[in-house]
Amino acid sequence: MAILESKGLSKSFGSKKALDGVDLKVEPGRIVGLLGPNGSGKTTLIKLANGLLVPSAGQILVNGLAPGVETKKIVSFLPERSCVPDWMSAGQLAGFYADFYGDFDRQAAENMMARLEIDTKAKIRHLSKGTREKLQLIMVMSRRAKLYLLDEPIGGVDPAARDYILDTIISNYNPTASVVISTHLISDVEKVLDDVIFINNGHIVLSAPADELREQQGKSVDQIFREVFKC
Amino acid sequence: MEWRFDGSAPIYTQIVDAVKLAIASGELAPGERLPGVREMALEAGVNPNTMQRALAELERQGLVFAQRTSGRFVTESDRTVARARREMAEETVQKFMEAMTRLGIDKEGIIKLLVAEKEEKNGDSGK
Amino acid sequence: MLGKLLKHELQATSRTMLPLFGLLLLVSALTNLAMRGLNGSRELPPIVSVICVILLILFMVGVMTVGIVTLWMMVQRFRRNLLRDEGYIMHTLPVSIHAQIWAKVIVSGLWYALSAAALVLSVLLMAADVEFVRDMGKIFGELFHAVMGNVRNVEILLELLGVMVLAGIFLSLMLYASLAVGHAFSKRKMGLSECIFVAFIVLFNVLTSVSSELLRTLDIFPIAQDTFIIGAWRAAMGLAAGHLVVYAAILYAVTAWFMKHRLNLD
Repeated sequence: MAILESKGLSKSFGSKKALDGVDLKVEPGRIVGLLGPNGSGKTTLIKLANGLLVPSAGQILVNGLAPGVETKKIVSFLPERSCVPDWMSAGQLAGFYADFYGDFDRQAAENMMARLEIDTKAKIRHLSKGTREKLQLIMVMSRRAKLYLLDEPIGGVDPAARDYILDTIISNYNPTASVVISTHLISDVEKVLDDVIFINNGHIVLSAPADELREQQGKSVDQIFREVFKC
Repeated sequence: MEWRFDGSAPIYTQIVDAVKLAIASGELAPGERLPGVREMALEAGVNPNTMQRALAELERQGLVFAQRTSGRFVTESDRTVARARREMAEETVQKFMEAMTRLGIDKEGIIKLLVAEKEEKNGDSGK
Repeated sequence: MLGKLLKHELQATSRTMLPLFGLLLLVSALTNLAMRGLNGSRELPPIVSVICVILLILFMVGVMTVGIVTLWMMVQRFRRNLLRDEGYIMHTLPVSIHAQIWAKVIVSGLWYALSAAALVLSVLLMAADVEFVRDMGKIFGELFHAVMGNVRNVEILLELLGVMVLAGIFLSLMLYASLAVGHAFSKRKMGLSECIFVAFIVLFNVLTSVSSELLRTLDIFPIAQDTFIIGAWRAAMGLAAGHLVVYAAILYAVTAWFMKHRLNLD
């Protein structure tokens, strides 16, 4: 069974259609790139999968279920912007995750925080922006979830941080889980993707295994993306 | 091993080629133990699934073999290594020939160029 | 899971509420000293008198605002934690929306009760006319005596406090429901929330008028004839509580429905 599936999924904000009849499937054990320009509907799709928005039409299923308490147990979500309660310390935040998620591996989180030399007693508010973002990624990737939904994990970070983020994703993901990475920075993530989904103006334009695309077209996913989304 | 990928071919085939080259050139010695899939994936900055697929392909070609408990090793068969070396050499020659043909240089011209290149090299080292 | 939510909710709110109470009690104690200074027979330097008067004013302002501030804090907490950025974290926890709302209602109710208690304590503290340490002993002694010796008065006080806490919960649920409905829209979330709040006020006023008219025509509860006696007082409290519970239930249902089916985080 697909870990994430949508059928005829649509979402409108007022008169604007953010998603329009999206059908997609994400199989277990895959790292999937949800690729599209800004405003193409990536974030809307991920928010729908998390139950932060409710579909206008169609449905979205996580492990065969509509988003709810049961799906939230198996989905680990990284929002596009940092939104952890900043009055907590990093240690308290780990406690918070450990309290609510049975699959949270606190040891892994503490190891990663130690490696980055994050002061677990300092208030998150006092950490640098980059550290706050990494901290949130550490929390998300320390869960042993079945589906990771990462919304723009590498947006607006420097190359060193980008490598750290991708390494953290690769080294924490287990082969039975799926990862969906939404981004418009294709060349940076291309190497780690099994499958790519191109999305534009709320429609799925293309959906295929990354290596198959490269083999058929003799071009990188980044090049294909540039051609598909040529202005 | 250095990992660099371009967009021209699937990443797993590029990994296969890189490992093959390392084996053919002796950078990876016969019987040498390879790191785990996750470790290699991390080092190459690729998805573990892709690395797994590449290693499976290398196994299929007989260049590496897996031992149930202790991991993956480079083949110990000299013949397999020699065959890999020959295959890669042939591929390189083929690409070279294609490029030369595109430049409009025939076989004789090619041979002349190769000889000249060799003499130049010898001359250089003579100095 | 509700237990864990409550724990974190308490942690998050006590950060601001405890210092608030602390400040109130501190100002009360200082006011007490100031009052004694002003009442004292000795002549005080003008600057000290001014400080005393300022403290007195601060106390009055503090007493008046502490309830409002508590309410405001609880509403802000609800909005920030569930309807804005932190909502991304809160709404992806494997917790039902009911647990989320209950956590907010229970913890805010607790803080209303505690701020009522803090107010009573601060007034006692301010008004006590003997030395500070002995005052405290006397206050608790009096309280103890009151509890033991005059059960009825304490009961009345507790009933009143209970209804006040209920009213606080009703008011915050009204604000929660307004926010939940207003934030279901994509634009002008706050403006719409305010409009809906006004609409709720109108609605509940109408409902209350209707129900009191109904009660009068049915002649179940003859308030008008009675002077202030315990029975009437009790019945009035009961009636108020009943109304508040029904209204709160309506508001709870509205909040839960909108947050479950119309959640629309930016």
